[in-house]
Amino acid sequence: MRQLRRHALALGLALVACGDDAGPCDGVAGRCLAVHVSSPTIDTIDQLDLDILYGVRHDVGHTQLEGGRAVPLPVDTSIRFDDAAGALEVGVVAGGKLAGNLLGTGAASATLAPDEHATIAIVLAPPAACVDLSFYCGGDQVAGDPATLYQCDAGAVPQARGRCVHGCVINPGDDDACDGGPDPCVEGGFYCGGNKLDGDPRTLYRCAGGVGTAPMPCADGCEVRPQGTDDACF
Amino acid sequence: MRHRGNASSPAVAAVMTIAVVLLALAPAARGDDAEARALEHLDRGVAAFQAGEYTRAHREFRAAHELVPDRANPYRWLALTEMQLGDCARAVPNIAEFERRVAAADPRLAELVRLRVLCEREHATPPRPPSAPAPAPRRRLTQRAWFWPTVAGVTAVVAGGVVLGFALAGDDVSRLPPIQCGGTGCAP
Repeated sequence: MRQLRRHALALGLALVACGDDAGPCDGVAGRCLAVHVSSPTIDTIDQLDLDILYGVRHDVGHTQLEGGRAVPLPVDTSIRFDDAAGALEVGVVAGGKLAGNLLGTGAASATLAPDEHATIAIVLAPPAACVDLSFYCGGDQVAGDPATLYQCDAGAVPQARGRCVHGCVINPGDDDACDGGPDPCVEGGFYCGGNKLDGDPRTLYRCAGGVGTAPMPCADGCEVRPQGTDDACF
Repeated sequence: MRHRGNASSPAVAAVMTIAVVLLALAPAARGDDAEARALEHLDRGVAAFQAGEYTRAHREFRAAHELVPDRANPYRWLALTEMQLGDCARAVPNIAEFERRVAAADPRLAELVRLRVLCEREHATPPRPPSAPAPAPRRRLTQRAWFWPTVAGVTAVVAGGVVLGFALAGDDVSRLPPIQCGGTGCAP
């Protein structure tokens, strides 16, 4: 009878353990961002796309259940970052998809110290209509951080171009751009957009008459260099 | 004096020509009607699918398919819906029908082929282990002294565990696999 009691106790404890409410970053070594995604208008998705701007890097990640099975909202996931020194600014735009159709987007951001775990909550809302491949500040036709410039990818999550150090300028009827700030550019010099001239932070411009001309898109981003030195593509 | 009209007069010939043309066009008109109705079913099915109402979506796609059985798209939607309903057995033939009707470069194919592979993987049955020899007849399980107390104990523990599990679980949140970001980008 004593043996029976011991087995019953073990089974009870195992069942209680099944009510797992651990966070998606629990037990993870290193920097980890838990992402909680919900929506008042979307019930189910089968893929979550995440546009992730971390430090000067940018990429789009996708996550889904095995077999692409549909999953009801809310959902949790996590973004884990390789070790790097210093604080890491992370901007995330999430897009929930079902059968390839983008149902909603939302955004949030956080700053993580080394080995820090943090949580962001993203609420998905139906995406506004943006013009494919055009540039928008976050919140202007695309979900995102208002101080970050994004490129519209119709039917998919918008892609971050980069943070705007001096803010993002909305240009009705034209591409939005990162503000160049108060200092003028030097005639003939090369600058990344948002550094002394208005533009896209992943494009290199030549300064002419105080504005950027001859834009050259940088595949791996644009590096702002110290004063007196031309900026350049990575 | 004008002659009474007969079959060979131009007016009668024109009327007969129009009648013949109308008769010839009638099947085409019926076909257009079927197409239009199929499109309505398809639209309703897609809306239901996106709302997660897969049973209703399937009914609409089935109706669309019956109206235009040669069209590829209803097969695709039927297959996608059947996957959501966990019915691989019905989805796979519909994927095959869709494949037969579209070009190899059709961008919609990749997703369906991936689903078919998943179906085939999930339904691959492992080989049966060799059967063990039949055990010798023994006393009935329910006649053993420990049986009923054990059943009662296990039942109580399971019920308690389930109740506690629900109470502790609270907000039921699904978990998606993590994404790892490093120097070369992000990957699941």
